[in-house]
Amino acid sequence: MKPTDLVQGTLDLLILRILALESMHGWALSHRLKQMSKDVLQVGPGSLYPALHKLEQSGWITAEWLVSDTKRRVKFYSLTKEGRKQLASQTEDWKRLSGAISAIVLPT
Amino acid sequence: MRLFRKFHLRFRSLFDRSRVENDLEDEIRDFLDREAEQAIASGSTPEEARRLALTSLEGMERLKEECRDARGIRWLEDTLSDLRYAVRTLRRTPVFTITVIAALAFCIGVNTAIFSIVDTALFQPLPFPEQQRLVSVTEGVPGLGFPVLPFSPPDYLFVAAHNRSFAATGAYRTQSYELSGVGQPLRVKGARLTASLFQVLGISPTVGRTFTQEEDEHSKRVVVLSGVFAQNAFGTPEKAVGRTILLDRTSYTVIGVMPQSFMFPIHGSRFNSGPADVFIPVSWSNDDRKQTVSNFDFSMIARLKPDVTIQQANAEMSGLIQRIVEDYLPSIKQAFLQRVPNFSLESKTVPFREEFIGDAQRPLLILLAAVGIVLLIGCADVANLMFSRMVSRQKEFALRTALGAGKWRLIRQTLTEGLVLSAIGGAIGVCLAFWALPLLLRFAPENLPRLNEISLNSRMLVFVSVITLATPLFFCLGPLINTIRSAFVTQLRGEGRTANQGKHQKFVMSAAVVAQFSLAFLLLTIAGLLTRSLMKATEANPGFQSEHTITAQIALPGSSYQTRREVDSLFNRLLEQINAIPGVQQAGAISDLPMGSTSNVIISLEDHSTDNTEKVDFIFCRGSALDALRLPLIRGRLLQPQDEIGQRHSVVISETLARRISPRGDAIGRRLRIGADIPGNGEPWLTVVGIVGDVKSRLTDNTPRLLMFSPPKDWVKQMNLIVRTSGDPLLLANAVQHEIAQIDPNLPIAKMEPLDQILEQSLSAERFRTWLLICFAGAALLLATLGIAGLLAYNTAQRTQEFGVRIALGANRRDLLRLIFWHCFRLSGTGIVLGFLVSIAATRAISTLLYGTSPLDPGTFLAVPSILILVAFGAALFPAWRAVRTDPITALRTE
Repeated sequence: MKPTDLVQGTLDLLILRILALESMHGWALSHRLKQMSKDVLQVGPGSLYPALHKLEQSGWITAEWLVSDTKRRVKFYSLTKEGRKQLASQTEDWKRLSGAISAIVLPT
Repeated sequence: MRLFRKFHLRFRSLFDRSRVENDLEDEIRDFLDREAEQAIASGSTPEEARRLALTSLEGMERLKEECRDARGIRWLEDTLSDLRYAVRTLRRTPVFTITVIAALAFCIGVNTAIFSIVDTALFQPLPFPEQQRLVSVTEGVPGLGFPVLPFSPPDYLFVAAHNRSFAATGAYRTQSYELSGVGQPLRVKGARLTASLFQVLGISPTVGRTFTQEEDEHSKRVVVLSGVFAQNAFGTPEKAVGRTILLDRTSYTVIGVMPQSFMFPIHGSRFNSGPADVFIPVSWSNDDRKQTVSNFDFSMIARLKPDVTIQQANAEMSGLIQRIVEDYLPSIKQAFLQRVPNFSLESKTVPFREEFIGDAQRPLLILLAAVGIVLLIGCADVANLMFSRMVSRQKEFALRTALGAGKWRLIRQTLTEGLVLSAIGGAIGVCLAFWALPLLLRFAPENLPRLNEISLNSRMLVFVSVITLATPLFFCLGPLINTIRSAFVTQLRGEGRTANQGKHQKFVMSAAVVAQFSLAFLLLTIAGLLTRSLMKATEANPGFQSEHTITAQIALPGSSYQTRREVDSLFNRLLEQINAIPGVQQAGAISDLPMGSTSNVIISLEDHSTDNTEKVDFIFCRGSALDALRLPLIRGRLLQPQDEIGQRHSVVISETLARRISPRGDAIGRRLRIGADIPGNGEPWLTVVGIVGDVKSRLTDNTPRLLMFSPPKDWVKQMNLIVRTSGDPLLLANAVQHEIAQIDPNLPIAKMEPLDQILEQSLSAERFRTWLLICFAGAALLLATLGIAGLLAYNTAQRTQEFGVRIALGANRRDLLRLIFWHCFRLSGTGIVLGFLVSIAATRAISTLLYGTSPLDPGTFLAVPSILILVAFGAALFPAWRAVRTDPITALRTE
């Protein structure tokens, strides 16, 4: 599934969710996303990085530059307090939305 | 914390761009490295791995752009780069830039200066708390020809006591006083107020207190000073309080000082002179409080209750004023109803502002419209200059579009350039206004509302900002449309290079020039009409001769000159002494100067041969005043010295008044008296002994005043000396002053000036607006010339090849000239015809400002198109010269 097929704003929610577990850099994030969604969601850097930068500007995640074991400068993203609040509220929204869609699309 | 972090990020993206860019670079490289490592780990060659990683980015530059967009300062960055770019391009064409900035600076500067004047006079809120609730109330006796009058004391007291619309009411009148006891004696402007007036206005004194109702009713000698006056006379307000000053040689105790900003009455008020220096209780006597249908001298101001509208107050006051008539003594009421058909009192309640705006509104708004038109003409110039620039830059724009610049980006670029131009123009314009405003005010007419308060202020800065921002929209409009419509691709292919510019664009540019010409036509016409009217007014015969005559105002303080004999003896001695000065031909004194303000009184005739009473100006004379003014004697005799003694009640009347009271017969010998013919009118009967020529009240007024000259009453203590001399009257000024000082050294002399100067000043308002409009029309003409010259030059340059071909094919120079002049006359001719039509419709708006000149004055309507055609011809000369000099070889070679 391509990111454009994602429901608007879902990518933000996914990123916040993953960063809530632990801080990580962009590449790791994209792989974690792929792995956690069992290869369904493949978000390329073309969508991932702009999204990360936007979240950083909004103040929901923050970034710091660390030097890795291989002596490379790596940008690590982590969730901020506002980000945590945002995650909670977006998760609530998502529950309501997905529940509503499921109720229509998958009638029992 | 969060705010700080966000701000920090934005700040860094803005000012530490290279680091942010480096970080972005590093981050992406890190991703690529990791992708590649992973690929190598799963068996790819390093090159293969590298390629795969890059593919996954889906375009490195696009990714970077999107990350930059995410920073949220994109618009700011773009604006900055637009600005840098605009400044760079403008610097590359200095002639264009300087021309445009000069035109804009001039237009914005003049607009700002005129706006400051008009805004202060007409729109700025008055410096009183909740000033929108202040109203001015007047009464009027339409049956006697006085629709609007200030209040008489009993009528004011009645409405003040009985109204339910007003939270507070007050009344005042200005009066001039001789001030002594502080330095040199001098005349000061004073105002007599009811104690309540300070509450109505809502201003408290900075030091001390204002007077109380008690003090007013008991005629206590207390005075409140204006802030400016206290400062000048005593140094500080604190030092003034408790001091004693002499007003008309009666001592008053200073009890308070108003703030410096308190200027009352407002400059230009209709019944009162400008801001007063001293405020004293009105202190009406018992007679004042009782006398009906006279003493209409006190302007009433009231403050509306919060829930009452002006309309409601007006309705209530109209009702109240009717009750005043009902309360009149039956005999008086009867007499009025008999003599004056439809006698009634009326009342009008209007916003306080109308008290001083009056007739000033229309000329001021016309001035504002005129400078607005100059600005529009200037904008059209700039628009055409921008347009021709745009055409030469079409290839550049095409290239930028091809490289990915969006349409909006180009529009923004155009607007930014316009904004840079108008911002610089605006800044210089404000400096220009700072310089020009004092100059303008020096020539401003004395009666301009709130003249003393005009300054460059924050409202003006808002105005400048608004027009500076709005102007580029006007002059970028054409170029913008062009930018949007341009077929960039065609341009890039090179086909557009020599092709004629698009029809549409040509139309817009020509339309701008046509509009300029028609607007210039309008301004020139208005300036022409005003000039002719001013010339007519200057030539008009006022009815008296003003040359070689000097006047001076003297007012005798009542406390030192109480009896008629004291007053008479002073004036007789004074006039005698002045007559003895060598060079003096006649000397006299008169209560009102011919061009000055006058008292309107009604008179009634002894044998009611004419039904109605007449409204006349009653003027008191001493000595040979009428002779000194050279009023032509038509019948009978002038006033003689013996008329001043004893009980011979003689009057001399003006020609029109004579015809009015005796349409067929001879007015000499008729008897008349002041006031309506009602019981209780104690005025003596006066006999007409002479008839003199008419005198105008204003040079621009064709209706002659109805004048009545009589020997002075004993209460007339303020007189204007009139001294006719054989040579330059100013040479005798010192001698006259010396004689006055000889007789009473404490007597201040005010307004000593030649009579012709007073006559000239009476036209200051007309002169002011006429000169301004001449300047504006000149500027409009200059800008319009610039416009058409620019367009023709540009057009000729565009058609160089065409001309070359024509010459090569055998066209002679005359044909080329005809082409260019035909183009020029087509443009200017259309503008002139349009301007003619617009002017015919528009000049009606100024017809009330014209004297002896028709709004369709044929001379003006012939001269203006001639000037414009001449100017257009001149503008076409240079392009024509260039076209004729076109060398066919060079022209074709550039192909």
